[in-house]
Amino acid sequence: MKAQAYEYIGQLLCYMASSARGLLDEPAQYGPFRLIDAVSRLIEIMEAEGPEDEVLTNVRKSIENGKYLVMVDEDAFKKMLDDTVIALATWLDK
Amino acid sequence: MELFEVIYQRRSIRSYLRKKVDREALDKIVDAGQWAPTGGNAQAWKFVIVDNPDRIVKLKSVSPGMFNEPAFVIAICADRDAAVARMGPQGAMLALMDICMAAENVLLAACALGLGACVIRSFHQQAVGVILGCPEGCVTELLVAGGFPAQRPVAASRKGIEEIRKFNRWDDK
Repeated sequence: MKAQAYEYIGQLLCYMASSARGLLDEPAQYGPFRLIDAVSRLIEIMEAEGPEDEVLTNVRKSIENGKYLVMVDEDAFKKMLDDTVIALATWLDK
Repeated sequence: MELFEVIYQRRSIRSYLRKKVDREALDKIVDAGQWAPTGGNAQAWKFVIVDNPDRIVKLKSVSPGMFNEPAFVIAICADRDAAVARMGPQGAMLALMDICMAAENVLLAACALGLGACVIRSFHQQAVGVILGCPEGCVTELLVAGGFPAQRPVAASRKGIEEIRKFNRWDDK
């Protein structure tokens, strides 16, 4: 693994571990928010280190545009999550 | 900007331009913070300004509530030992309240200077303490991440004044 990727993944590990601890005391809807944010961060690492993938880039952009909806519009946030899962499933099955 | 304009224009900004904020502005923001009310004039607080990008990345790694690449992070820390020594058993709680008021001043000052900022509580306090090198008895209560705004979010709604305000008694009698 490249040194840069190793560093980015290390940062993601810290983020996920901190999230796991924080979520014990935080509002329930922060759980899906942290998970989908982790998906976005992971795609960012893949974009930096892996081959170009338009589908993943679009998924990340969609997450970035929609993730804060969790605080103002739960239905829209749920739809964004559904759209993300469908896009990723289609990507996986290509 | 006039005070009420700043209050109504302030937003939680979580996306920033890649542009450094000069330290004179950061000092001005922290000075506004320390002019917040403080119980018994205890001033049991410290403001750690982090503007080194590498250190910000480390802070972000243990702060799930921090997003994108802020140009600065201000860690507002309570000196709990000093607070208790000065204010008694309630000292730690009073210091926390002081810090909340200071944070609002920080946010408004940043907005008045054309910067965007966001207050953060979702972080691992002990891990942030390790990264900042906080001494024993001092704890980071809030982080304020900021920079030149790359977004202008729509204001989240607020309840109508009639819904939240009472005159003289809860039942308005």
